[in-house]
Amino acid sequence: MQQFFENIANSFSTVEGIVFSVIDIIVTMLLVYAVLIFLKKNNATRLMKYLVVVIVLSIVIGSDIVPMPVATHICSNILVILLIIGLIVFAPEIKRVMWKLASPKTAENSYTTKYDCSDEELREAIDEIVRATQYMSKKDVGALIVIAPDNVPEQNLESGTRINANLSCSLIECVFNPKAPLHDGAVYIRGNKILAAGCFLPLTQQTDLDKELGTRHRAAIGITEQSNYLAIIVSEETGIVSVARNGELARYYDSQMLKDVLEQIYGLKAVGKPKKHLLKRK
Amino acid sequence: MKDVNNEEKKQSKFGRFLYAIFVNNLPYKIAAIVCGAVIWLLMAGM
Repeated sequence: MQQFFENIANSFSTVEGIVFSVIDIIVTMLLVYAVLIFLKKNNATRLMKYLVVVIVLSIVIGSDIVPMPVATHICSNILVILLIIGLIVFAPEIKRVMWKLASPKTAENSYTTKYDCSDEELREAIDEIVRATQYMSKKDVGALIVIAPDNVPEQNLESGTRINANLSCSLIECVFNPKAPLHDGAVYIRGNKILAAGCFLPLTQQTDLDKELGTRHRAAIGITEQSNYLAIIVSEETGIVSVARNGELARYYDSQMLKDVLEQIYGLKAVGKPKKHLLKRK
Repeated sequence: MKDVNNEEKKQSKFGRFLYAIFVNNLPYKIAAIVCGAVIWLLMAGM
């Protein structure tokens, strides 16, 4: 125990020691804060209390402050085990953070992909999507359309039915016809092609969303949390057209707003300052 | 449900900075300071 206090006193014995110790303390606090905020954002608030207690106990017992050789041996490995468990349990959330860090900051750079069609064909595709969306909105037909600027991983498409057809308003309306077998699930669109329909999307784990939002909206938020896709949702109950991007949902899109955002994601339009019509969380 | 067309409350950059440092997530900041200090003391003393 005396050695314990001596070690701490030695850290502050010189000016250099004091400076580096203060920096060390600040960095430790920032790391702990980052972990706490990560747990808070991923609805693991309850876990925090137990995690802090386990870590502190592990450090106390893992050092030789108290003479418990077996518990010391176990606790000296517990932090590594906790780290591995954390990586497994929070794998999707860590993936999302990594993707956000790796993504370019400006939307202009996010969407410079090449499609196998001309700009004119892309503009026609945008018009078709907007027309289909407006028609389904008027008829209160539920729809979930995912616009992918990059190639879509095979496992995303395998959950649905491959179509690989040229995009048209009629085809989109057919897919989302309530009597059609593929109307449940999402349609993946890239460029002027419908890649697949009836695809299942991961649901968001956010708990503070508006209770009016159903599974369709949650799926749209969920897929955009994990990727740079854009998701268009038409509500079956209200006919409201919403757009999800980067895990955030914006509602009450009219045809012009929808056209603007599609032109941005297809790289046909310069990115301006985003309009502030995001749905705020409660 | 909030009306999405409402204007956001205007706040100066300095005000937002102060809010972010001293108000936003304050309980977590206090917990981080306490836990960070305890963890540092325990690790430094070993």
